[in-house]
Amino acid sequence: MGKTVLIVDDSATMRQMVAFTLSSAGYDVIEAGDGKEAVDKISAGSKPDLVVTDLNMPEMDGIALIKELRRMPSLRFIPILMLTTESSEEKKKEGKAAGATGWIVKPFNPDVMLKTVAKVLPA
Amino acid sequence: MVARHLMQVLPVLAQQIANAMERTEEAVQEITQRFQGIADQVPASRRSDDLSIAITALQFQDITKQQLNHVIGGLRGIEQALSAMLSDREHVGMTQAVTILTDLEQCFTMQRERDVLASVRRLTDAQSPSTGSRTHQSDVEDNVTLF
Repeated sequence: MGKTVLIVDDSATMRQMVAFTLSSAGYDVIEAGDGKEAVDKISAGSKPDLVVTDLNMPEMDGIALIKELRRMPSLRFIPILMLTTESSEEKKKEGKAAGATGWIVKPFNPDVMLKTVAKVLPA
Repeated sequence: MVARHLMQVLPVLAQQIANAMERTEEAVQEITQRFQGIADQVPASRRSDDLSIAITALQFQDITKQQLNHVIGGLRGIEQALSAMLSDREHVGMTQAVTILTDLEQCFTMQRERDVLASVRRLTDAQSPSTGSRTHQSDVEDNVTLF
C-alpha cells in the first residue's frame, strides 16, 4: 500500500502540481484548500503519513494546522513539511517550534521535493 | 483636488490587478491540467528534466499572485489614508500613511519583496530596485531546510 500525503494549499494550481509530482512517484494524495478543511478531512477518517502544507491560508494557516495536528495522538509524530513563499528565519523558527519537520521555499523543484519526502518518509 | 482624483484611480487599479490575477489563475489551472494530461501519457522512466523545469516554472502564478495581493493591500492603504485626509481627519490619514510601508513589510513573505523595499528605502537604485523575478533552477536547489 502506498504512503498517503495530505497536501494543504489554498492555491488549486499549487495543489495540482504537488499532487502530480507525488502521485507520479507512487504516493497517494489527499488535498485540502486550507487548514480547517485539512482538519475536517482527518476528523472524517483520512490518515495521512505525511502532510505538506502552505503557510498563509484562509480559515486556518499552516502554523495553526501543525499545532492542531500535533495535538492529535495519531499524528503527533508524522512528518509535516511547510511549502511556502515565506523564507524568513523567524518564520522558520516559528514553524519548527510548532512542530514542522522541514521547510521548503516555493517554487519547489519536483526532484528536490521527492528527495525530501523520501528522506522524511522512508519507504 | 488631486487627492480626490487619486481616490478614484486607486480602487480601479486594485480591481484591474485583481481581475488580471483571476484570469491568470484560470489560465494556469487550464495549462496545468492539460500539462498533467500530456505528462501522464509519458512513462515515468522516459520523463526528462524538462518536466521538472516546467513544473517549477508553472508555480510563477501562485508566487506572482501573492506579490500582487501585497500590492493591492498597499493601494488600499493609500486609499484609506487619502480618504481620512479628505474627510478632515488629517491626523488619522497621516498616521495611516506612515504605517503603509511598515504594514507592507509585515505582509511580505518573499526575500525579493524585502529586497525591493530595502532598495527603495536606501534609494540606491531608484531606476530599477527590483532584484529580478525570473526563477532559475539554482534558486530552487537549496530551498529545503530540515529541522
